[in-house]
Amino acid sequence: MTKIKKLIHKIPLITWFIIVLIVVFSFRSDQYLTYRNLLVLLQQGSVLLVVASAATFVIISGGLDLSLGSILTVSGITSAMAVTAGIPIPIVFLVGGITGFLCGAVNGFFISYCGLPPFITTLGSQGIFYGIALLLTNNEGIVIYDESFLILGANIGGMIPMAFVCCFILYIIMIIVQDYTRFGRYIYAIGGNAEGARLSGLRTRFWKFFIYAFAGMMTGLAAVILTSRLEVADPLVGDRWEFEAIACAILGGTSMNIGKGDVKGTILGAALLTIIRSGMNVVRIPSLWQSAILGTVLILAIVFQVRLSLKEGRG
Amino acid sequence: MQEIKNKKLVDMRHITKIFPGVKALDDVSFDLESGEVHVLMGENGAGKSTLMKVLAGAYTPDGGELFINDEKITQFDPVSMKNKGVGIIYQEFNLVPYLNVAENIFIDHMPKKGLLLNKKEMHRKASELLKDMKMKVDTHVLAGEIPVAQQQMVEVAKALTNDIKILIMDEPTAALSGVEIDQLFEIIRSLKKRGIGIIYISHRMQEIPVIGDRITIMRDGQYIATENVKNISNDQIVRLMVGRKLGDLYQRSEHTVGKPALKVEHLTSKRAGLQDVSMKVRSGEIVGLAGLVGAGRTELMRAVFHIDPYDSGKVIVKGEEIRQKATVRNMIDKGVSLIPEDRKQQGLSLILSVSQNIVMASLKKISTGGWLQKKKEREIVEKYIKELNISTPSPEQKANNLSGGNQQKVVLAKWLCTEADIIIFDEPTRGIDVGAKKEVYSFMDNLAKEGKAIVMISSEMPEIIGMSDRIYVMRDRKIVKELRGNDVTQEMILSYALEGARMEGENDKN
Repeated sequence: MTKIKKLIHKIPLITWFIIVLIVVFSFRSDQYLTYRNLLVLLQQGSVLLVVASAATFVIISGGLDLSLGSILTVSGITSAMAVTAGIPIPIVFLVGGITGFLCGAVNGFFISYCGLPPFITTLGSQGIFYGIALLLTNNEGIVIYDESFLILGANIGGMIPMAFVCCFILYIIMIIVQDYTRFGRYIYAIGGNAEGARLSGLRTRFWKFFIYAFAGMMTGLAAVILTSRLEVADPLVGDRWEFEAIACAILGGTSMNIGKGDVKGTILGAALLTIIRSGMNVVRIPSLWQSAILGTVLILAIVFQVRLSLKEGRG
Repeated sequence: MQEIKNKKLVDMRHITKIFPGVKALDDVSFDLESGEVHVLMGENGAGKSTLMKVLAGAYTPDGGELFINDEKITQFDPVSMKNKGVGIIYQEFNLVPYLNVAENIFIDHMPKKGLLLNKKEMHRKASELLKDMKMKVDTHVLAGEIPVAQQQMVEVAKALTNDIKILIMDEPTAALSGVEIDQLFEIIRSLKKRGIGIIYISHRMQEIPVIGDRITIMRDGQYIATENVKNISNDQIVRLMVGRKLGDLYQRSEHTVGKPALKVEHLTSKRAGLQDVSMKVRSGEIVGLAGLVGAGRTELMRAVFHIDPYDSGKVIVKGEEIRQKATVRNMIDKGVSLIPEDRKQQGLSLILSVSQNIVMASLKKISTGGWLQKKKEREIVEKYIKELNISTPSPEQKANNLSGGNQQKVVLAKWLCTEADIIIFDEPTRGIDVGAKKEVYSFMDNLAKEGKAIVMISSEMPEIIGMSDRIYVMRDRKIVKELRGNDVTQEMILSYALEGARMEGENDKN
């Protein structure tokens, strides 16, 4: 009996939220619990999962990246340009990843080697990256016609979204990086006590730099998938992604104040956010209201999550 | 000396406090009279802090009664306890570093003129208070910029503004040096004369007869004994605390001293103020580094370990000269470890697990090409937990949830894990209880026996004398004396450490 209780206790609270929402929405619409809708959810949520995981890494290390949305945009545009130039898909991924890596490296350089606060650095670089996106496209979206590239956004055999498969692979890679590599341990060490890590012989400066570059790279790879799914690279596509990514991380149990967190929880955050967003259509909330409502719901959920983790910290 | 005594300020009867799974306080009784210093002793985890938190209103007891000035307390919260005259100075400082001294003293009730602050009045009152305490501090200086000892005094002043009757001091001397401790004791004596009752928590045996009137000993959440300080010996106290006989704290076994493992030659650093420092440690040897706080011991070792840069001089490890530009990583690879003094800030990461902390400095050893080998990690961690007798429910436990002594053992494990040949300990036993101290000592002894070279910075004289083969005394960022042999006394060390300290004090006034 107590074993079951313990097991139930181990399930994060957010899971129950998700279940309740799914039940509520499926009562409102008989279209909700269909396989087709699930495909839509998976497609929508998968890119967010990767960006949110990148945000999680940065947050665990005690940092913050407000430029992930704009990195997503720039990388989407460079990869779209590569596609248009007829470059094969694997190299397109390379282009997207490198763009993201370089953007993240800019953040990492200023934060780690120049000692600027992450908040102001990434807020500023956000502007730079958007600016580059606008310059590259002349403020016009790049429409993709290359059918072979669009496969990434399609469903395998009409059953499994390719975007989800790709993103989930990236997600698994990040879990492995976090739990099974030295780099993963460094992220925690730096977030937990940077000075202590330095005195333990870690090259904290380099690794801090690398964390941002890595987060940028993963976001850049996700951008390739997003571009394929949307069939267009839009210079404003990444708007508000940074907030949603950070929100997912926190909802998944990662703490903003101390280097505590787990990218494994972030998938729950991404699921919750995606379900809320799709659910708003189900319960017919006018689109003009959706942004305000989503923001409110997320902040409330975060308040709840933070209070919960405070309580746990004390006990 | 006339002291107002015998009025009972605090009477705690049969207090019980239960946390999930632990009886933190089990039927504990404690009382405090006006004008006395009542020392509260016990190992870490004995329940001292919990008891004091009940008195300060941070915890509500699950059983028992508390009377303050014969009035039964029914509501436990920090504000109402403060209004009853209870003041508490925590071990960690709670000053705001970027506010000045006066603002810190009056942090919760700054004098106002209309809507605005009355700064003039505030500074006048603050300096008056400090003058009463015979303290010369400019109240306009930022709290973060004054020495630790003075910060402590500011904490006392802050408590006094609330018209306190009962003052709880949690290890007030942990960060102070000899002279500063005397200063603090002077203030405690003047508080006694005003009829204030003081509860004094400390791990330092030698302070008890100097400042205490009565002593209460706790163990495992239980009340053990209360005695007049005059009627109890240190041995008796220790025995009551640990519930067993400790034997001699400092035991050195037979060991052979070998070749020099670490040599420092003419090390000079403008930034740390170090001047032409030379020293050496041989394998199998424990070398003590004595001196007052601020003498430059930590700074010297930080420079040797290449945490901070130095301008000239040589650091030679096992006969090999280390590049001046070398990094901490290089030093670790060469087999040198530095176990820092500040456990919580530098030694460990409190939110990480015991296991993560232990392997943090030797991740290379447990990984191949960037990949962690979890099995190897588990083996190593379990080995050290056993070897050092770290009491933790599991290797996954957060370091934060361990007692101070066990945290210190985790730090030791972390550095032992690097399999260093030269180990620098900075205040290895600060803030840990006697039982854990003894374990640390026997551990150091073992390391020396195995042929490791050990440097120990310590402000506790008995520890320096008891454990060291040789002692370097530092003063004003120089090594002023090398002492060896069995007849080294505390007085000898102090006389070298102190000379000139007075001059420094006079410079401060200008």
